[in-house]
Amino acid sequence: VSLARGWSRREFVAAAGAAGLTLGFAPPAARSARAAAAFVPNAWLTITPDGTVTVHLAKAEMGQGIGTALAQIVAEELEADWKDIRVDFPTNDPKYGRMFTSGSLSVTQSFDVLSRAGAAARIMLIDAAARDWKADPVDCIAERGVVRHVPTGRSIAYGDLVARVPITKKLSPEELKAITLKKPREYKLIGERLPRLDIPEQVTGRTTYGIDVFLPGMAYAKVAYPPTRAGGTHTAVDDTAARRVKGYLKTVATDDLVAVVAESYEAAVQARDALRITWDRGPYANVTTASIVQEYERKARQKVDDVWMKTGDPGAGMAQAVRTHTATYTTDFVDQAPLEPMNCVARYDNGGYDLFTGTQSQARAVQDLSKRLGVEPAKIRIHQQYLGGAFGRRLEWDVLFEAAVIARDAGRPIKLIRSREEDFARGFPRSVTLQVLKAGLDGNQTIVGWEHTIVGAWHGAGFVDDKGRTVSAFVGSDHAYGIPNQIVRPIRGEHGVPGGAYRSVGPGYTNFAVETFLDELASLSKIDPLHMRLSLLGGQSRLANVIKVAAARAGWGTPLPPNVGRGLASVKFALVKVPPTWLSAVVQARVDPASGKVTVDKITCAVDCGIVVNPDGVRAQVEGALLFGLSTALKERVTITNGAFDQKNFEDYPLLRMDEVPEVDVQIVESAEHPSGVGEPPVTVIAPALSNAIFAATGARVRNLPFLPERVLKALRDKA
Amino acid sequence: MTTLVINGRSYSVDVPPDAPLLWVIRERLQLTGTKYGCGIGQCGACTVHIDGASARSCGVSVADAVGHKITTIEGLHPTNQHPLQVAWIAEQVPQCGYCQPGQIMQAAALLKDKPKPTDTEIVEAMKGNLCRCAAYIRIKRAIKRAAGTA
Repeated sequence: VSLARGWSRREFVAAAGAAGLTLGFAPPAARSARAAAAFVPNAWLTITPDGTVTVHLAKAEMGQGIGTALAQIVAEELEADWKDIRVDFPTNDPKYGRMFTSGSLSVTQSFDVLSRAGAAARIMLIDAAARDWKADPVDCIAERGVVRHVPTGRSIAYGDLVARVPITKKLSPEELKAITLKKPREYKLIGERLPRLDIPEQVTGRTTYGIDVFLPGMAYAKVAYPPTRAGGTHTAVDDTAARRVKGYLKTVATDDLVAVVAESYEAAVQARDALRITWDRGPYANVTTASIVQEYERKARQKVDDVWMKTGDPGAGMAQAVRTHTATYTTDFVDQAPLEPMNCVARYDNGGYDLFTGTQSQARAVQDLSKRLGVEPAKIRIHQQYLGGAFGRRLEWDVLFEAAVIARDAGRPIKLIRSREEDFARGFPRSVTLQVLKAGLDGNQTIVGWEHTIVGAWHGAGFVDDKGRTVSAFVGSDHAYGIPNQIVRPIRGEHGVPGGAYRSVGPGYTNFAVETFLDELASLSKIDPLHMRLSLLGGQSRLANVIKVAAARAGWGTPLPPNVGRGLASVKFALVKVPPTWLSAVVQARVDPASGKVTVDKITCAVDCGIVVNPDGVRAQVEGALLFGLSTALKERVTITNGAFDQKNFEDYPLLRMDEVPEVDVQIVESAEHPSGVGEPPVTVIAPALSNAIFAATGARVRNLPFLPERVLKALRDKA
Repeated sequence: MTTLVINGRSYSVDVPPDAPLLWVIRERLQLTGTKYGCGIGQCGACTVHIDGASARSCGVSVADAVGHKITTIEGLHPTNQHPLQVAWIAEQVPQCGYCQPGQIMQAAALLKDKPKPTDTEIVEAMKGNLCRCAAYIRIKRAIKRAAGTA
């Protein structure tokens, strides 16, 4: 077995000027020989003389099918033949802008850029052909990878153009901006159910994730982590016993970490376990879940001046209410738990770092590592691999930093693979949150005042506003409903545990509170929650439309047996100022009153995400995200005791399994609006829709996520 | 030296007898289609066949694997056209894809045993395999397609 297997191909591609891995069939040698003549119109695509169009993806592929969707966007305007399309994942470069993948933003933010990249290349190819034919470009059209001169019928394939004809036309930024893009009715590829380009490799086990990278001469590293999640440091290290382990190579002890390097993974584990380390447990050694919740309760009662959103006059609104309703919602820590554990292969050479991993966060990682390692950003090269799930966890670059520090000292490339237990212990879970919602109702049951207080430790790697606030941690509280006199107060609750982004970030809990609270108000006012929402939306918006579609398909209002109920929830999802996705779901659930166990029988969802680039891709994302939300709502919980997380593996952090999967009905609404993202919005509706379904089934309200049987039982007792 | 027979080929490896088969397959032999997910038999990402039956390679020692026929995703079908692989593409099952070799190996063992499994039999056989992307609906559909019961 050659250790060079994974590397030689990569070096080849890098030498050809397009670092990263290529999904293709052409042997590397053939491609590199032709690369000198490749046409590179911009950062986003390369056309080689064999006619292959390689779309360069600045976005991470972590299961969204993003490579195929972005390639469809480029190919549409390029008028490429789909069979010629390949994708690759280039190494970080400023020419790709700020490289990150999060917020369900990839399609919505890339759509215009990539459409213009494809269109510009098409215009340049047509110009070259016309010059060659001494024809007028307006008499030429491009279609399926061929330029054709309409009056004479002459034609030339893109590959032949690249091989034989000088392509000289340049487009100024103004000209690029002025290109008229296709109208939706002109689309040939956008909107098509094209199979994903990467699936054939996935089903044969050939996909290379970060954990599958091998470098020549590579050793294995294991880090000895402090016993507390945050603030722990080593004060003494004795590696006498570790040195006796067969295969031991080196101990790396810096201010940042203690690690062992060995010839094999097993030897590295054994040697690391043999280290005798004295730890200072640090300032957060007494943090427990209960201490966090108590602190949050105290903070929620404090008067705070920081107001994120305010409409009308909240004080006057509340003053005119004839009655008020207040409810407190909590969510526990939840771990992203991507199935591929965190890992990184690192090589230090000539003052530079080559890091092989799958990350959502190239831009931030390079910026931070450059500072902490004391090198220019250009000296940090992240060789992007496929991601075996991410869900926000791979927005953090902790493992890249560890691997880089170890590789610098090891004298050899190293591979660092976390165990599942280490991944849970070193997690960046979504923070515990506590939210208080208060509404005032007038004599006509109209909501006249609304106060939303959100306490949580905001996630790292979020979207920050000009006041330095992590807006993505409390967005979603700015819901779409026409309610006057609103105020939203975000309160940052510090507990020392690093907060992470968890698929759907803020709206994962803000929408839980908002949509459950609306249901409570509907019940108090004796109004059907469906009608209440529609009346608050004026009945005609895109959100109202998906609510109506979901409700109709779910049979809203039709009778159900005892202890079975339907709950409705919706979302306007946009983490930053982009076109939102509008989504609604009805959850039908059964409650066992004896045990408190909740079983979901059916989820009916309608989504409006504007122009649909790949309908099956959207459907797959929505199906998966709804079930991800169900897993979160039913069972996921991390607790912390004395500064360390209690959950160690999937035994005590269970995830949704096949026997818990309900019937799922997804309806995608047709639209010609700008496309918006679908990876996260479905997650946000399940918890509230399920809470509302439990209420409809039993009259008991659960406000603490996840809805563990004991919590449902408590709610049933509280009601009685 | 320990000799293992994987996908019809003999491999000699110098590893401690208690080393988990998973790490030998993945890191020594670089048959990386077999994935590490939990190390305690909770996720099924490391599923292989031992003498035709599905097994979690994280829980099998090298010593116990000696003398048995081991099959990984790379050896499931000579041209990667196993009915399940074909069905997985037709149904566009994978999202991140990381768990999918294990899912396919688990399903292949099921179909060998029960060529026309009922829905209940599918769920019983597959509930030990985690998919964090929750592509479960399509996994089930692809198994039924491969079994000709869709």
